[in-house]
Amino acid sequence: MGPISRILVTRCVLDGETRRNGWARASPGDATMGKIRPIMVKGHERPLTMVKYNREGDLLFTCAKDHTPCVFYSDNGERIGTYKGHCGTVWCIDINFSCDKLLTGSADNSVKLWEVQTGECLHTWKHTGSVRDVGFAMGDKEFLSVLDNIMGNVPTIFVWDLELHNLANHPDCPKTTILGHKSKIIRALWGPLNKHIYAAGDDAVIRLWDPKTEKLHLSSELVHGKRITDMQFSEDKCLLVTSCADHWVRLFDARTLQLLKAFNTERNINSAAISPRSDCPYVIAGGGQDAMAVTTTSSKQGKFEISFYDHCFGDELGSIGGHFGPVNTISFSPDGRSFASGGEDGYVRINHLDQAYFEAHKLKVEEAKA
Amino acid sequence: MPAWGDAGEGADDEIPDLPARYESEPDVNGVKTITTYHTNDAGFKIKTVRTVKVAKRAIKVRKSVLARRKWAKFGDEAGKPAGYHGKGFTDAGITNLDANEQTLDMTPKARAAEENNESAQRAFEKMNIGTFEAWRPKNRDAGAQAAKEWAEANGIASRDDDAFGSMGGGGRGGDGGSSLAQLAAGAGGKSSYVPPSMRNADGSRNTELVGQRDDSCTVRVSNLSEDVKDADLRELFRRFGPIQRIYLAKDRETHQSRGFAFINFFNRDEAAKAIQTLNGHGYDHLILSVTWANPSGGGGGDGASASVAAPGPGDRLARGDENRFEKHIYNPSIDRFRT
Repeated sequence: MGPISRILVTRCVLDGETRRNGWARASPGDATMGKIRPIMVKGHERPLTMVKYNREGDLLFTCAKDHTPCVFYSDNGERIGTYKGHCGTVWCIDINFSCDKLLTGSADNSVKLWEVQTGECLHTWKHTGSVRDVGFAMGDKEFLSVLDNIMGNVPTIFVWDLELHNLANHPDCPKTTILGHKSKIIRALWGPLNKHIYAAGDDAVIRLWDPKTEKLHLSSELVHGKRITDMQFSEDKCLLVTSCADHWVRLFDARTLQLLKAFNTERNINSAAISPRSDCPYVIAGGGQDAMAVTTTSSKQGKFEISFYDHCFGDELGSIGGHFGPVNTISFSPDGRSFASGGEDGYVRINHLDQAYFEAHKLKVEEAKA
Repeated sequence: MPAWGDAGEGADDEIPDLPARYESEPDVNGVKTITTYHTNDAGFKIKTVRTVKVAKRAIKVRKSVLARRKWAKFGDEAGKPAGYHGKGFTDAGITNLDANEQTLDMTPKARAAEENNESAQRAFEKMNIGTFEAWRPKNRDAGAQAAKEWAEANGIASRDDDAFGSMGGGGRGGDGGSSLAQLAAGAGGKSSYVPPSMRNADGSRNTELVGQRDDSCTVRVSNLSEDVKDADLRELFRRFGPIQRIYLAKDRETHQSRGFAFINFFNRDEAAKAIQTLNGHGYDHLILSVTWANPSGGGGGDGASASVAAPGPGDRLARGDENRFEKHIYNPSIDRFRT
């Protein structure tokens, strides 16, 4: 046995021992402390509005209140390109399943379809007001867009046919129009198998719409205390997480809209996401003080961290800071090994999580069994 | 064929009779040996044998992802070199690594709070046991005495001496009296402000606490391997008795262990026992050196405990180092680095 193998053996035993000792003893350098060196990406000049990974998780798409969405390699934060053409805040972005087409919705009253690889704008759909959310339906045959209730508009969800091979003379009127929300819709998502559209917004209600009949299927009244600021599915679309202006993060069963877990974050939150890994059953939430009050307080008080919650044990865990403004949007990579956050400060931060993060839950389960 | 590192140096050309570099095939554990020869400055032939572990790590990448990693840049990035440039890529304008490392603590918040409580409780108990009771009465009297003297010197008639005596005893002796005592204590010391942590019960500065760390129960461990952590030390020394505090010296930048540590026991006898047992003991392929922390041989000042300690480190050190290595007996129950 050479010296190298000796060291290897030592390390293995050491690891085994730390595990057995349990992780309650959280001295610095212990197994439960993860060190993360985030990548800071400054691709935008204005506050971020949405960050989203593609299905494989190798590309990260961002859009902001400046007019140019960007795409990055999510591994190293290298910018691949920008999508030029909007002339207003870009509120939302969505990538299709095969990652060759991109939809963006903007405050310049339009939805644009882009070729992901070249940044070429393929088509524009005009709206009567700013567009708050867009989303490809599974299979790329339809997409939805959400109209804001400004300039005399009623908050509306449109469903459009999408004929990718017939873009030159594409029919320019929505297939379905869903009315029924009282105030601004912040997020609309396609449910599993395109059966329902999940919509949430300022009226603090999650509504499930049937896109075929335009009828309300289900709604969750009296759960949220204030407006909903973001809503995201888990990777398998079984869970739904909402961040709410009443400072709570709530986890729902996506099928029945039953409230499963709720965490009080004790601060404003703008976004929440679910970790896709089953060995890391975490929910992350980010936000912080309102942008208006930021200049009057120190960044420590602003609570701009992204905090972790274990939805299996119901624990609040640690947090990752770094933004010096409120966090507007967060998104987990589909492999669960990293997450990206976009802030009011104009930065996107890509956090690649470390080994301690992945082991923490297993240790906790072992300890709970013992 | 010369070693790649030596190519172009010319030294090998002058002495043609050096054997060629030899690499063995990796064995079952993936360990291979590389043997190289060269001549050093003094003209001696040197044979170097290195053992290297060869490990293959397969990373699966989807074809679509690979294809995307070759994409040309477009939009604002047009003109920059195409493709993916690997981990650690930075672009001054856009992509940067954060200078600050972020720490993500996966301990549940509730539990972390509990642990803090526990340690506070321990600190409080420790205070009650010895130190707190030991210094309090003495200093209270001293403070009261000083206040009295100050009051007399400044012409403030002390109406009744009991006022100074009672206020230190925890009772509310009246606000006037108390502030008087504080003033007096302040006048005695260099500055009038006393941090709460340094205050006596009557608000005067506790001079004994300053710079005082009771080293009489502290053990110094050196020749530790770099892999040893606080928890390992706690595990190792716990068997001898309750531990107050463990300090493992670490490099400020790298956070790597510097190879020595201090263990504070509550009890001197237990510390002595730890020294007796563990000094010269093998731990993680190194031989520990365990001594009293203060150089005077554990001189806490009181003779009783010193005599307990004497058979421990004293005779061992006297016999010298080589003796210590001979005495070393391997005890697998203590060294958990070798199972």
